[in-house]
Amino acid sequence: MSFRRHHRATVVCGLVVSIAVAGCAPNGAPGYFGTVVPPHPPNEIWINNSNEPEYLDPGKLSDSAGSSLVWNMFAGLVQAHPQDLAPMPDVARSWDVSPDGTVFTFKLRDSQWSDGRALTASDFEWSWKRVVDPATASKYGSMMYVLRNAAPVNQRALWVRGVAWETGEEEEEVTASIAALFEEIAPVERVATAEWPERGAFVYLGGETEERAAYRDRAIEALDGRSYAGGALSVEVAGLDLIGVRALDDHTLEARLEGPIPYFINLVTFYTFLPVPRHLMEQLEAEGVDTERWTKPEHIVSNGAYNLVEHHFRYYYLFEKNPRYWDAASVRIEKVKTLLVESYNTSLNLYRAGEFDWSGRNGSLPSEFMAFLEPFRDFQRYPYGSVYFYWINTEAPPLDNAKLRRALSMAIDRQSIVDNVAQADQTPTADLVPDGLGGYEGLGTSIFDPEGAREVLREAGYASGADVPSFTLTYNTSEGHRQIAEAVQQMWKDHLGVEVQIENQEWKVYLKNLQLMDFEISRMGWILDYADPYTFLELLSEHNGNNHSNWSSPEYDELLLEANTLPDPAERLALFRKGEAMVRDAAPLIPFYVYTKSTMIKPYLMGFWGNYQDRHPWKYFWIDERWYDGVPEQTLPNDPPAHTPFS
Amino acid sequence: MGLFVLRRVAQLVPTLFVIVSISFFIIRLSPGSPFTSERAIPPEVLADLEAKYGFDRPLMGQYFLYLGNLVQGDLGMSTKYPQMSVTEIISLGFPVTIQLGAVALVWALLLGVNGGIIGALRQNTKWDHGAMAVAMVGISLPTFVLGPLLVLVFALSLYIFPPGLWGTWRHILLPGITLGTAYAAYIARLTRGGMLEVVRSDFVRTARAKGLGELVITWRHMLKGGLLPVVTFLGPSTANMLVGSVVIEKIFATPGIGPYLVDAAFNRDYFLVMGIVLLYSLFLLTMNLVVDLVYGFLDPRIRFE
Repeated sequence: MSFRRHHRATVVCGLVVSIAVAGCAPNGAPGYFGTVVPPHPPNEIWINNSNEPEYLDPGKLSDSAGSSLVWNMFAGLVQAHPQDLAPMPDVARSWDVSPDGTVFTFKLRDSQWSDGRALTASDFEWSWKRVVDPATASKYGSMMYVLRNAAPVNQRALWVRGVAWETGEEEEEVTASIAALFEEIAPVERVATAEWPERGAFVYLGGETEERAAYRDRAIEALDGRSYAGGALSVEVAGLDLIGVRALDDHTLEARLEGPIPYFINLVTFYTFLPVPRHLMEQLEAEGVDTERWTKPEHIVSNGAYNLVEHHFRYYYLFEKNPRYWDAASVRIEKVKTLLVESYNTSLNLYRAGEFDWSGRNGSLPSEFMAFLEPFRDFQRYPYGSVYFYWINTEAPPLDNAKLRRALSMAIDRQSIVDNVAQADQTPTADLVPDGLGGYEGLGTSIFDPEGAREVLREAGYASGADVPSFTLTYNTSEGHRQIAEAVQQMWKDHLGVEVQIENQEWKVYLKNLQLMDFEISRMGWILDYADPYTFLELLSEHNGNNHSNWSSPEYDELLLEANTLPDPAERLALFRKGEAMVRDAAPLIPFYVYTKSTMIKPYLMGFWGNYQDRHPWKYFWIDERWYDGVPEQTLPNDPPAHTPFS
Repeated sequence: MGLFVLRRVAQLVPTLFVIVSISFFIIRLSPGSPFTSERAIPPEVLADLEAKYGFDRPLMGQYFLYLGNLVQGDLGMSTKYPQMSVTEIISLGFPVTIQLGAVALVWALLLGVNGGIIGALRQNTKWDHGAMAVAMVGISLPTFVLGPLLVLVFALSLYIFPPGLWGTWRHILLPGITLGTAYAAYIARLTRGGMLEVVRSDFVRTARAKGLGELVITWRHMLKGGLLPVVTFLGPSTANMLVGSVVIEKIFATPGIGPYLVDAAFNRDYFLVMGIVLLYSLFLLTMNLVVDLVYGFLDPRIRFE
């Protein structure tokens, strides 16, 4: 999941904080920023969610603001442990994996939707298939591509049966003959064979998107039913029934994967895999209500720890504990109000005045006060699985020279950027994958090597940096990005003598140019989708739509594919290291640092632990009631829950 | 006068049509689309998303479709918040903004008119200089400085008012005062100027000669003429106040429509941009009409023809 740093609005409210912090709030205590007595009715907390989410529909959601709410409204098969993110049972009691690692069978516990209706495995099957269905237009449909045949269905490939081939026949020959068959009618982008649910092939037609529907119709009309190699061809648009997920009975869900995907269980904890109430949507449709509105408080049915009861657009959401959640007994906070305050300074003011119990996960603390806030006891900081980096357009001269790219990367003093510009204790890194992610041991590339950089620059064919033609570094408009870009500009000049122009662009303009590859160097951040190095490494594979470098390498792609077939985690990670070394040498991107998250949380709010994915389920929150009577002498232990076994 | 109003209302239609048409094409000229995102979306999915909002049609087709829907009162769906219609979004935020604007307007008038009167009646005294100095500060002090200062004093030091959010009268005062103060300052200067023009006029002298009390002269006779420039100013500025302020609504986190236009433009939320532009235009044109009508009331020389 990528994201941009929000540096919106806010401006001068900062002034307030700087002066106000001098005094101590009523109900405050030394060492704490603002009030420390729980201000709201018992068992009610207020959190800043910062932004109005685009969707509350887990299948369509793609923003962080929505994920904070949806993860608490819906329960998936598997949940992530709130501290170390290890997978723990949620609606699924247990799961089995086939010996080849490609089929997961989940056993579901008895559970209900918030309207009392039983939640079954077919609810999951329907929900997952709905995300893949291109008609749903889910922006995160590609998260489901781990499921067998989900990609061709999502991309409306043609499903072709009746093209028999001998076992052992070269796949290239088979796909070439199928492609030849279709190319008579329409342009073919590629052909992929399939073995499940039966032998066949997926044909991806090419051409402009708006022409493809007509091509598909034409191909089906011409080829469906046509006799071929002693049989009859069957050609249709790949349907949802081909997707590798099905309910075997009410309590058993089978997920068939494209390969032995080691991070699948971790991925299933992602919000795209949450169930949605099919029965509600069908009911609304029957009543003539736009099904897009099913997440409105007057309609919504959910199955998680909290029910949505009120919503005021761009103001707040109010949630109440869901008594029908399967684990309701362990949910302690009765009401959660999430407010939508965008300004970082206003949010901090409201926290200080006691309105917010937690400044939330979607905003940030005002960077100008970070150093000031750090010493307070209610300040928390933890590493966050997101990397700040620059894409390099490897086809734009002079950056088509790998050695030059490498030299540019080596000449950046990342520690200085973290210490003097970013200033939130980020971990500087010259590698793409954060060290320690999913047990991965990083390459440990030097984060600053000016001598080496000058050497590599000479190897690149430039006697001095002044000989390098000027190029442009682009970032989306934001104070933070500007400061980093200026620092980099200066570092390249100082250490290499290379001149670079810097330019800012409004967000949508910037994204458009990124997609069109109309840039030379461009800023980006990438948040991990699951706790595995692959979430970063796959960014650079050739067919990844998020690869904005024009760099690809068949060798690299094969290496990643092979790694994901290896059952031994150590061997797999070793291959990843080889892949990452290729990335380091080719330098299609320049990593800067692994993010941290800084937040303010009241000392009486317990059950909060920092983690790489910044997930904080409210079901673990509770209030230390001793704070109602004043500051307790000792803080209570904040032990995370035990890892529930897959019983 | 009835005919005058009717004619003016009829003139609204072509004006709004031109505004809608120009803004429709301007927002479409900006690069990117509502669905441009940092994460790649498969073309098939993107095509379905675009078809849902009719963006797959030629631009002129979309324009006529929009106009057709508009005539039927349908402002379209938001692309950023797909479960919300533009009408819903506006109807939720607008009352908040109106309340905030009303408090600001009352504050601006109370402070401004009284300050102006004092300045005019005590011309060139310390009262006049004091009031005008305060007005000057009010004009020069941007809302993004005044707002945080008020928060600092009243919310974070004295703890009398909350630093933001909405719901009770205590939430409305600080943003209302912040929004109204700059206007109050202008109004004070305009009132003073207007009053000074009439203070030595014949009808005031006549009133004095008739032996009327100073209070009656000020309120009934002088103020009517003295307020003319204020009324001219109040038309567009009331519209401005009532349709909200990006900065103030962000600083105080009030759930009004102030920040919507800018945010919607950034998000390329085409229909929301159009809806708000339409609302602003309608409001501004209405306020201008109201100003013209108030002129007739304040100045007997003006006739509606």
